[in-house]
Amino acid sequence: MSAEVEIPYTVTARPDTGLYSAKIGIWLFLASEAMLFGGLFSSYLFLRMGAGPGLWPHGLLNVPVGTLNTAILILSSVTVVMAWAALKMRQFSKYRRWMATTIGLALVFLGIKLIYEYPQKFGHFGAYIKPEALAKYEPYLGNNYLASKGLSRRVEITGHLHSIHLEAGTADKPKFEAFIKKHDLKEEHGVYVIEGKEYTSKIQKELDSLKGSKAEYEVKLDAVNADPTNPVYDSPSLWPAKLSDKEAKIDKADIRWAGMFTPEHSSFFSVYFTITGLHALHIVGGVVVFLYFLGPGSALYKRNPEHLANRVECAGLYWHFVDLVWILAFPLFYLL
Amino acid sequence: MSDSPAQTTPAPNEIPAAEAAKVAKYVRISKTVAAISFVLTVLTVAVAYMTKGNVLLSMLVVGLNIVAVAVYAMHLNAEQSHIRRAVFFSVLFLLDMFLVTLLAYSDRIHLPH
Repeated sequence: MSAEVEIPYTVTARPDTGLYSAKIGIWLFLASEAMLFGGLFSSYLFLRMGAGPGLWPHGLLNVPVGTLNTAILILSSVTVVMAWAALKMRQFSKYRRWMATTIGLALVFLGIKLIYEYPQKFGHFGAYIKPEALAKYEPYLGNNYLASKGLSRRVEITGHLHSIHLEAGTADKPKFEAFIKKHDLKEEHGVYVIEGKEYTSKIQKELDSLKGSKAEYEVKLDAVNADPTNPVYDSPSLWPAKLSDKEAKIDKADIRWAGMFTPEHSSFFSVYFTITGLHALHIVGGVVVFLYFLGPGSALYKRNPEHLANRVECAGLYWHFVDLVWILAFPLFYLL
Repeated sequence: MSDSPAQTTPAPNEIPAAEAAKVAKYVRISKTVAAISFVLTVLTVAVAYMTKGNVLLSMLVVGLNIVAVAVYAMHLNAEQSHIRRAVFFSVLFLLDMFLVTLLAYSDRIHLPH
């Protein structure tokens, strides 16, 4: 003989708290989530305030796209409320439509982030110049001009990496040859060429370990480095700066650190990818829950529609929190 | 013991008028908050550009946006005291976490820059 056990207070409120169980659960969960993101934003604060002059980049992210994504999340917060309201009014087909719209908007947000924004960063190159070599790259950095205006100096040259021309120099020969063989590089008059599309941060680390070797990076410059004394670039522009046709050659010996805009490129990108990546994971989590409520979970409507409405309300609270995190993350990374 | 007996789904016209009005009011509030939130987002962008990245002013607008969403869209204003207390303490802890981070920069021994 088996007894069926049901969880109490899934629909009506507990008399002592005035809340149904899931409501308490979701708020405690959100409080712990606030701690999680709070810790990460705290790290952001620490890194941002500790960054030396010119080491915290501005204007590298696409503000109109970020604004669009914010609008999408705000809109999805309304559609999830509409889904809940439709359930409360016992309009099941409307509920399904609003829930599907919420999922659609969440997927658009994720698409913009993961298919458009992230890959663009992964394909962008930046080289931090050593302090003693900054003067050599003045035509691309414009630090004399910036100093005359009392602005922070630039220490990074960014753009699209065309190629790297590598020579053995005084590098350890067996080590150098092993590198050439590993990456199957072809020789042209004693120079080996690494194509920009083949370049990775891992290759950069291997290049760094080839002490004594000579390398020249050919970079198609971002507009800000092509015309660094243009007052337009005194502050970050609303629209992302386009690539110029101008190219620069940077000596490996003058580079402090170079790489694609991946998490290991800089403190900015490490904290950017960590927070926005975790936020994206939360969006994925929300989509999974919403898909369940739209699919198998919606069977509950026939048995107890109020119970389903409560579940959707809790998921909606979570969704508002996800929106809230983005409202804070957007200006911190894109604007300030 | 269960408080959720199987129910037969009532037709839309069987929803009590008071309940329907409550739902409609909440939908109205949510739409208003969303509109305000969007306007504040655009304002944040505008402030950041017009003031060349004035952090305090921008964060003030962001703070307003966050409060609007938390208080009205997540209806904290109408929530039970247990919930408000839990949120209050987590916000307090959060602010403390930021404060401790900021204190690192008033440390006379370790001055990063």
